[in-house]
Amino acid sequence: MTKRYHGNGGGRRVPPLFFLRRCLQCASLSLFLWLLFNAAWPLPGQWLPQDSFLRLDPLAALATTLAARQWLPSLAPGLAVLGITLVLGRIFCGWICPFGATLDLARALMPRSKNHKNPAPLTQAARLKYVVLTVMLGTALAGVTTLFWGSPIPLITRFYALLIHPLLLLAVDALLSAARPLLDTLHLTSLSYSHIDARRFDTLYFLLAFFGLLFILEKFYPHFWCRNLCPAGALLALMSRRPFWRRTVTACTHCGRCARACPTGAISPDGEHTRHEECLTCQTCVRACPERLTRFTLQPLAVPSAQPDQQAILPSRRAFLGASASGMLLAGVQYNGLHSLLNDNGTILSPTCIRPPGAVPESRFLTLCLRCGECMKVCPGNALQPAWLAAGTEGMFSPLLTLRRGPCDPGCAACGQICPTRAIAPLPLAEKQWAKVGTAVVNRQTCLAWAENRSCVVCQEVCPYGAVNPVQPEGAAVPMPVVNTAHCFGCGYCECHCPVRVSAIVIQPLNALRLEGQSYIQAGKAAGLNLNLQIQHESPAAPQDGSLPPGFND
Amino acid sequence: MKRRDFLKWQMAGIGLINLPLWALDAQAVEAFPDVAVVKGSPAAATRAAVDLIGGMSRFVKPGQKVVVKPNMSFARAPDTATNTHPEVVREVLVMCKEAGASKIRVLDHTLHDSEQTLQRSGIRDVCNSIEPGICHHLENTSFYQDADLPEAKEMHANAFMLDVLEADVIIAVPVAKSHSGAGVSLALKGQMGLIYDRKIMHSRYDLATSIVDLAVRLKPALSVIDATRVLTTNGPSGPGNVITPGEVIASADPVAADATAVASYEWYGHKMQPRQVAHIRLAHERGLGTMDIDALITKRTSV
Repeated sequence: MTKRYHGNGGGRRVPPLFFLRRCLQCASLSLFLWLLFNAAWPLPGQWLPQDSFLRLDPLAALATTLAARQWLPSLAPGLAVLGITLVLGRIFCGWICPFGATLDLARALMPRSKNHKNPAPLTQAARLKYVVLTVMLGTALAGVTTLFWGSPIPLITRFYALLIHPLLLLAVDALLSAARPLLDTLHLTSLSYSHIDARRFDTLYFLLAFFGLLFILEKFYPHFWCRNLCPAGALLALMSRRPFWRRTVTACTHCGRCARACPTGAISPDGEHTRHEECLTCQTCVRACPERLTRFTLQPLAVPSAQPDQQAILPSRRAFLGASASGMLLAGVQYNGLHSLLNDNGTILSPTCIRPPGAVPESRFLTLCLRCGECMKVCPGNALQPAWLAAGTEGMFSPLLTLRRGPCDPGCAACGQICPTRAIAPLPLAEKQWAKVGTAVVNRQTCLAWAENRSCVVCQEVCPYGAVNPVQPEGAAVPMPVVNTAHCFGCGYCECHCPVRVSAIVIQPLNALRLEGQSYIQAGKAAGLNLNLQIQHESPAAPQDGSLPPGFND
Repeated sequence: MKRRDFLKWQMAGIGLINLPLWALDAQAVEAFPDVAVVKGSPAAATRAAVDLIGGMSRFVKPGQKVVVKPNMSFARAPDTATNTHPEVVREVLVMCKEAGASKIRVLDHTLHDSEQTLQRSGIRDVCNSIEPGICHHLENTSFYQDADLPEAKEMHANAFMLDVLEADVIIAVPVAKSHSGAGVSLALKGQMGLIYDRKIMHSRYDLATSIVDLAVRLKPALSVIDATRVLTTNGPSGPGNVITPGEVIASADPVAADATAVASYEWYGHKMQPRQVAHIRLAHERGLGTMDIDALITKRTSV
């Protein structure tokens, strides 16, 4: 039995659909990774959007639409998946989902234990996923997003983008370094100077713990996530109580091999009946059937059977209501959070809560953001980082600009263009250059020029907006940096390059422009800003009072 | 002058009697002006200026490894005078090739986006036209190695580019521009682009002293200052006031080259003295070269 389920046991026939499913699953994971790893500024214009898979996530589509109370065209494919499930069952789970494919891959890579058991039978644990789903939909109903704790595609996107991709880059860079003498000898000059900058990210230990746990569970309890936890799976399960295309058995001999092989325990022990909502349409039963009597065919709509072993394992009505109420309560708690920005009065804005340029107003932003990490993947400066607690517990894993790590390039608008939900607006470059994210603040207690009278002003040297003016007060030995806030975008070149170990010039989210649908240029001008990349410094071109030009001394 | 002439004749005499080749060489060294300032198109002026002080063969011997250090740290076009003119760099590379250099690298270390600066400065393109793949910004630590600065006053160690450590000849090819922190950014200041940790030169050490510490260790054998355009205000990043003297300054003495550039142009509309730039003054005092422009033999010409 074991062999039949897990391996290509001894020359057994492989049903075409089983083969096709495996191929499609591999192709799907490959395509997902190709799109994700290729997502870099400038984004290539291609036939498939980089965020295609995120748009397919049914839970992200439903919960985000609910929470935002807005039709989001980019998430329509996710709702279409719900419709497809009515016809074809959980084909998304078994054939397409890159999360499921990753778990399958992890299981295939792990050593198999000797006393291996059959897949676990269906238990009441399968109810848990509905509870998770209901809580998430409950919070969404109250206008708050919690889906990022369980929605599969955003989670797997973040896993590959922030954890796996940087590891691969590290390995490639090590290879390049090791090959450098050889490349030099071969006069491959350009190649011998190639290297790959490290991509560093915060919250990696969350991803490691979360996925590490799932991978370990996968060894002892295959498909634990898909069967018992995945809220998107639960949503699709509700849609696939009686799909048109479903498993059917004719003239069954009741040998029970299919039931023992079924990875989700969806088949009754006698092999005849199926819980279609638990069925991933993976075709394992078709392959296991010695009589070739198990098939997936189009069937007319039928009423659910009253037999106890065929009834869906669903939470009780009371549990359903309880979970919805818990979700609403959770939303209420978030509304009362200290960091909650649902209204501006009485809440706290953390000084490090600097959102990417074009991020919509904070409460809308937290509602729309899927925490998929695509913006962090594309950010060329590696400046966008997932938050731990800087935006409150409700803002965990949402993107923050960590400008000490890297600046926000004025010539880049990648984060807005890749964001699947427009939590970051897709701005043209001219608009993005006005989407002020914050303002530079000089700490005069630690600034080398202000505090120690030392020659520096690197901040002025690197500022692309010409917002740092070197001002030399009378009698001062060196020029001191002063920020012209009307010219400052908050790009963070100054913070990134300040020679003081703990930067003496930092961007704070002061006067950031957070709009939805309006023009940043118009709003910026109305607010008295002048964010011009070709600006002339306002320092006197010729000191008139007999003082020396900046940097000169006697 | 008399002593110089006497030496010249003496050398010539010895040469005639003994070792003609060696003598010609020695005579050559003595005969050249300290500084050459040539007005003309970027490439022609560059060649003429280097030729006036003895030609590239005086600095680069066949088989030697050369590192050329231009300014190419800003993603701006040549007319902003924030980067060295690509044609000046090209001519220096051509002359290095003619002199028989075995390995040439054009290196810098930018604070900005490496790709954009290499592209918009126009310098990578001209380098690739001479020899593909020799022009780079090195940002990764794997291209650097720690080394001591034995004669330093403050900065006794830093990480240097491996190519720089193994180079026989370093040629500084800066653009002439003002610098809000250091006064001007020329041949001496430009050497900061060859080490890894430049922040420490601001934060731990005195900037001017550590610039000289670095220049003592990485003294350019030849300095070619591109003053075809000069950024006289708002340097080093600009945009600022750009004047176009159309000149190239060459010298075997980086202090003399820098001093000549400071004295030749107006900074923020003011005539300035080389001694008013702290790192030039300190370099002079520590014997790296001479900033005393009246004592220098400067040859000015046009092509």
